[in-house]
Amino acid sequence: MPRDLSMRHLPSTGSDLDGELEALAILERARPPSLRAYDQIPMRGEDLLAQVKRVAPDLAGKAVAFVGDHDGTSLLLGLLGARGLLEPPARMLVLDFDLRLLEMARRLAAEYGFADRLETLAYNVFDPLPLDLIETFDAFYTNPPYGASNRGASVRLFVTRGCELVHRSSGTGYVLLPDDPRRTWSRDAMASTHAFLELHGWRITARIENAHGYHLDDDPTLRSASVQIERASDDLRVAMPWARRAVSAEEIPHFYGQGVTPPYPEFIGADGQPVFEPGRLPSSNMMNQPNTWIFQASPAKYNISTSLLVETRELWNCNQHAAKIKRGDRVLIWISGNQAGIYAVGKVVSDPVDRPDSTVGLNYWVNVLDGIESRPRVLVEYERTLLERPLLRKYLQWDPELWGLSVMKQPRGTNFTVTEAEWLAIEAWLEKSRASAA
Amino acid sequence: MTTERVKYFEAQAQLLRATAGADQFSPIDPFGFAASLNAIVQYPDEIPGVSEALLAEVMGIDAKSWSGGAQYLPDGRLQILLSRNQTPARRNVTVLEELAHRHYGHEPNIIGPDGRQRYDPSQEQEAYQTAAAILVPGKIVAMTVYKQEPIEVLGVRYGASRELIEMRIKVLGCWRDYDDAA
Repeated sequence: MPRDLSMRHLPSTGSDLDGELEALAILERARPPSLRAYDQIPMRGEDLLAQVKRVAPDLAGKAVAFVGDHDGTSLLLGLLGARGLLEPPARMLVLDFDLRLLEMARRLAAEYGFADRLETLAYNVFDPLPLDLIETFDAFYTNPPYGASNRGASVRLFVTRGCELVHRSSGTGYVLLPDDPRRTWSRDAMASTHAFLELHGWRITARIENAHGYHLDDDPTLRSASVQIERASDDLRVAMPWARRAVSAEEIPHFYGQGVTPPYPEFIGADGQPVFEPGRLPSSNMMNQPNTWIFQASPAKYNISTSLLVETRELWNCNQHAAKIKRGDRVLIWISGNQAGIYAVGKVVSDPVDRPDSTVGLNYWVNVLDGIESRPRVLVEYERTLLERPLLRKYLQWDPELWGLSVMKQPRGTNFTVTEAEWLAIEAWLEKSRASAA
Repeated sequence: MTTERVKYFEAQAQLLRATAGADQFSPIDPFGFAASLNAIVQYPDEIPGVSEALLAEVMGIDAKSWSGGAQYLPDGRLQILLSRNQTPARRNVTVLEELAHRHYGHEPNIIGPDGRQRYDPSQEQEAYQTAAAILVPGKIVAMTVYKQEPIEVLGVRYGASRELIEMRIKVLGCWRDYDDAA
């Protein structure tokens, strides 16, 4: 059983509150703007301070690798150590793909007198670790992306790298994991990571639940737990699947969540812009590439089954994302209800314009006033209908790559985003289908 | 079984596939799969020191009574014992069932249902449903039904019996469409 390591049981570090808060303020002022798209979400200051004081006694005098450190845990350890408020690690290596963070770390370490303890390395977790770093640290520390859309797989890649970095026989790790039992994804990510650790010869020695909150405007109640792990035996039972090799973005879907799709940047540059690996650069017109949308119709409001039979083009409401929907985008027509699913594929052939529905379209509204109302609308041309064999939700729900599909998670609305990865998954369902073609 | 429960088994199966280094949807070799998860698979007649009388008794047990079991070896590996009296497709799922038992932390049990001291139907369901989802992922089954492709081909490709695939079709809620197409 993990032992209880809550703060009240920890020895005091002889805190000087003013000094601690000043160190925290230095860190928070210096931290570059967080890039939410890459899951950079800083921990709340008071929680970070508590976390640092919690782990400091165990890390004192040790060699510690930080696998990603947007929070600045290493720097707060250094800053507090330089002020004599705790005993810092003897050696800290910060591995991160954000060059802004590494530059800040070096600057603060030089300015506040702990440059002799802190090194930085520009490193992307998808890449194999440099061989000379493998098994050379006493401990690793990571607060990774939580993998809300991939059952914690993002966490497990960071953990794999951490486990590679520490000594084979005595290494320990500190992993921050999502901790909200009310959320299915959080439970899944926590359970999967526990199982993963156990299977690969690691055990949890301490866990502090509900330990941290985050500066997360759209989800201020998200909490994380602090988990301490150690090797269960020298004899690794099973090699971790991603160890000692490069990992492709396709192996871990939705690595940074739903907001960004591969190719992922190799680094975040000093200017805060993504830097892509040569050969994986997005083309210059990527920003103008067509997006894919799901447009949902309710048969209770619009006689969509008939209109799909009869019409080749229809105006569709843009009740959401009107500023992003554009001519050339791909559209999947989704009908709600008991037989919810995709009933047609088409494309947007006009940019959104505020207008009532067409005179033809008004015939299909159950309440014609809904169609008369002026609102952003686009013209959609149907390229293929699936009326005889719609691609129903009851099938799609078994595709793990579509478990994050917005229309299945939160089905209220008209216009839903579809990521590139989700579109590719749906396309595989549509290929070679014997469904009717328009 | 609720959809959420079935999804849970799918997710656990995906986790085990990832842990074993298998990709999400391709056919697997369950014996190689077991090896990559630090388990060894043996038949009773491959174990040294078993008396001929006991061996004869074990080898004579019908596969419906005992298809396999598992125990931990002193070196920590999981030893999976398989009955030879079953089809290759049934062997595949038996191996995966034992791995699923370990995944869920169920107590290993070498004794079959007849003499089993701790036979827990809910644990057996967990293990069987997860094993079936490892062997033939839900997406593949559902896509086969949607595309009206023959399940016999699926069975050969994935090393699964017709009965197992039809069970999966039922559990995934696609039976009516499958039955109508047939």
